[in-house]
Amino acid sequence: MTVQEYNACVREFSDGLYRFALKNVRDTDLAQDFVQDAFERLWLRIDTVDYQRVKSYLFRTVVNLQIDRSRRQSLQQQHLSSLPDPVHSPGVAHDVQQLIDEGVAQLNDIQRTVLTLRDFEGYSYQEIAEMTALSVDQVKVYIFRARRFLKQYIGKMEVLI
Amino acid sequence: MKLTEVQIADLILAYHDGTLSKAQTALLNDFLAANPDFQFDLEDPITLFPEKRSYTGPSLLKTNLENMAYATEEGHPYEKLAIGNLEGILSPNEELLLKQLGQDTNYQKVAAQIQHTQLQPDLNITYPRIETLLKEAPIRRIHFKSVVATISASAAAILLTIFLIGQENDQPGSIQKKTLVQAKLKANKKGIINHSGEVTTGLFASATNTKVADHPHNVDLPPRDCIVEEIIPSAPENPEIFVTQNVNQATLTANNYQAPSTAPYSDQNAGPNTPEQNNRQVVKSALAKEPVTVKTFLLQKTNERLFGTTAPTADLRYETMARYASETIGIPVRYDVEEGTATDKIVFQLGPISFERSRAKK
Repeated sequence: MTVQEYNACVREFSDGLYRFALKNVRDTDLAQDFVQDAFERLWLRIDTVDYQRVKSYLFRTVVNLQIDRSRRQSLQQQHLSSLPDPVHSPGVAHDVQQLIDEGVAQLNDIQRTVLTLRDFEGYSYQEIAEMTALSVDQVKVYIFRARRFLKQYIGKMEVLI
Repeated sequence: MKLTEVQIADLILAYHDGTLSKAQTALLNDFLAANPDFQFDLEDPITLFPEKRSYTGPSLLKTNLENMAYATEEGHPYEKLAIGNLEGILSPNEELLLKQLGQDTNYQKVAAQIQHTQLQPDLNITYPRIETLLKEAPIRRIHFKSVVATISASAAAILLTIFLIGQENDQPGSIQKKTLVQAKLKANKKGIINHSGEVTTGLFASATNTKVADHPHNVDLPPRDCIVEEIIPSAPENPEIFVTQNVNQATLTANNYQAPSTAPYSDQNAGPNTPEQNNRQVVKSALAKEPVTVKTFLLQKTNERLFGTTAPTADLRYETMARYASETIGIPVRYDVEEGTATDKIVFQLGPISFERSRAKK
């Protein structure tokens, strides 16, 4: 891959990669760091990464960074999960999109990851399976569960509103 | 008369269907006489007409969705069908089923909720530090082998040329011949020897710097031969002693003794000077002060800086140049003179390439 192709990748994929990371980690600084790390790793492997598979490489890198971060912070998350979440309280929702965002935030990491890969980037089950090291059936099931959870979340919230 | 609920239902349904037997008709009449409230069911029957679109219901959905990816997952069949439709993974049978359920309000409600679960990226969110990711500097792929090979070949060609030219100049015969001709030309300019080869001794002949011949590198310089630092003996304080020495030398000359010439190019026809001439020559040399030109001064200083001496030899020059080349190019370049008994061996090395030549000892 040439420098020109690398720069083309930056211009083409950085925004999508940032949105994907931001949706999953919900932290702008952390999402920016993930994007920076992903492109840094790509730059270091510029001679080995195929240009046709750069997008997959970048998203897989961000997914791995998320997994690493989740592992590091698992204990902290367990502690935080026991505390009330002021941001995602049901009472502040005003529209369906906001309800969806809140629902997505309550998905577990893998469900949120596969769902955003599917909806944001339009990846196939096979591609998502390769990125996340899951089987295709597992990807389907996680997406099904995520959508069902969101549907039920919307239904409950609509009733409450 | 008492009848069970099942018996009553059978009698009423048979009545509406027109399949009552005589015994059943008698039984029904007896029952209605005892229970007139049931007369209403017989007078206004509810007739259901079959619709063109058949509603299959969840039981059929469950049967048809058994092969779906979500078959083992908990969830209503409507949810499975709606999610499968959203994901675009329905089989042809499931597509057909979906068409049949298209007008079903319950399914539409579920499908609408499932449709909301499709996430839409906010395109207004962009990565703010994109400029930091761009790499404008092109990658310079240096092919070291070709570069080194080119530099080495060029340097080898240059140094070999210098080496060969130097060898040619270092040949004793050529030097002697060249310096002899040059000296003759100089002497001719100063009127020492004429065109026929006859010696015309004069004042300027004794003042000629004979060290020019000792340094063949300087023979191309103009007649003012001050490039080599010359040590001119000072005039003797006691002229008588000096004259005595010259007389003794004259005596030796008269006895057919020929003093060794200090100048290898000296013309044999010139012959020894007379004591008077020698005396005048020494006095003249002592009084003569050859000026040092700016060019000469700079040359001497440059030689001193480069080679550590004002008059470097050819070998010293080549050795120094080879050392500079080695430090500059980064590959070993060497010029060595290995002195032997009869001949000197000159070794020139450029990386893995080396040349050896023999040179007559000077």
